Amino acid sequence: MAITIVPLGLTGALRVLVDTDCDATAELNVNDGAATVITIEIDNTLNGAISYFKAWNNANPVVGTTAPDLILRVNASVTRTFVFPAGLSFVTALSYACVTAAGTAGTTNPVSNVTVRIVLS
Amino acid sequence: MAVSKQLMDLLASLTVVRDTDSDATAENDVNTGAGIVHMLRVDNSANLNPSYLKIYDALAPTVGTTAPDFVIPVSGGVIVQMAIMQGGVNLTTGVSFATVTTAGTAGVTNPTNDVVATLIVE
Repeated sequence: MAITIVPLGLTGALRVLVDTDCDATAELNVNDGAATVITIEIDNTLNGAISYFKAWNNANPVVGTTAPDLILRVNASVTRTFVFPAGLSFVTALSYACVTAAGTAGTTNPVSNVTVRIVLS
Repeated sequence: MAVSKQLMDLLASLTVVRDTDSDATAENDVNTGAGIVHMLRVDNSANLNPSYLKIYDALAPTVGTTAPDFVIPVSGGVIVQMAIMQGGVNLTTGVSFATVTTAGTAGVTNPTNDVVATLIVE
């Protein structure tokens, strides 16, 4: 876990969250409450297999058991940025993890670091 | 199920797949094989409760059992749009999708009212 959160210094309380090793250990309630996600960049370039970014509208999900509200797949060896022009709301909390399995199940870390950058408010 | 497909007639072979009543009955293999998902739009404005669009890299997924590769939450009364930069995500088997009322893998319940799901696929 190596997270930094940097305010963008703009009107509107936008922040950039950077996690340089997103894995199966969930990062919990990263916005201290509700969050609106604008973009999610997922860098899976160090891995030769698919990784899945999973996010929960929940302050304390159990990875592999709690049904993720958002699942984004990134194929091997690439970076993808997912953009939500109108924002994606997490009204309770934003927690997330990265694993190697689709759907709800899966508690295995990606083999190599997955870097995630989230712009949120 | 009311699915239409419109070729965008551009140099890139993009197709707009639009389902005006996306529900728990999967729309299977909408690109006739592998496909790259570039954008999506889910209109849940007719519903008071959240709906979840699920996209599967499969030809005939079993909704509620097959693990979805994408789950997109859409709150009641809203529309969610998502664009995938840097070339989209390549689903190497097939592009199938459904919309239900439960997050994650499980869930076989239709949204109460029509959800319009639109995907741009290559």
